[in-house]
Amino acid sequence: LSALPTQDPGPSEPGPNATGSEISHLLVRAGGYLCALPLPAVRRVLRGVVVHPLPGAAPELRGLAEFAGEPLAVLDLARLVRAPLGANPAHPVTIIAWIGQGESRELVGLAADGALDVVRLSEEGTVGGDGDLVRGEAVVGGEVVRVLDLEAFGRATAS
Amino acid sequence: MSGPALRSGYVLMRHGKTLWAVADAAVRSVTRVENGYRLQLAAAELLADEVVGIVPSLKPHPISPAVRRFWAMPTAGLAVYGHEPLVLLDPEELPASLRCDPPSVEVS
Repeated sequence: LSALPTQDPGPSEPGPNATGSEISHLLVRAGGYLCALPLPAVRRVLRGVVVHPLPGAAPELRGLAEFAGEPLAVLDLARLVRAPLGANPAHPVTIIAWIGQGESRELVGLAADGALDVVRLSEEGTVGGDGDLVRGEAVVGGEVVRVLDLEAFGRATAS
Repeated sequence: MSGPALRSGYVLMRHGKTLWAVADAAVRSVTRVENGYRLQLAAAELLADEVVGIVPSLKPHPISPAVRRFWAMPTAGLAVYGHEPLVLLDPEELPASLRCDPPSVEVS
């Protein structure tokens, strides 16, 4: 597996660039959406991950991969955020990230169509949200970005 | 497959694009058939495209919440063989998609 430049601040510690309510986010493309993933939850960005599909799985679950000698669920980020179809990805990536919280906290792969940039977003600049994975929307460079709350993954179905 | 009564390890088999493993002790026989292999277990017969081999041990991992959320198939967990993830089968609860069609029963 080839690794892109990464930051690994750990699963629960604030990122190195976090100041006040402003947190660094990894900007990725997922289908027709731009999404921002909180950088403290991101462990690594990989390309060329081999995914083994599971028969009968929902489309949100692309399959299993091997990461650090252990099985890793690879989820389709575009499906998770219900993004419309986008252009064929030129540089698809798998973002290894922590999702969920408490006993449900786990490391997964999030398949995305490209990793674009690291941006700093404030909570005040984020509006809306679905109470689950999408914390809200923000505008970055004139484009709407879905800001994700990876800790909230599964909260809507668990409660 | 017909070794001593006490056996350990796992039989690895491929079905479709997925690698599966079942406890060696649960496998009674393996038969080559036209479209692959039939593994006879106590409760059912499994169909495999390929029998990869037998490994002495695997490190089982429980099914993670993310997998469970999007995949309802009964399993005994996950593991990795080499660099390939695999699904551990529960011999007592085998997924229907791996089972050979049950023999037809004539009703008189």
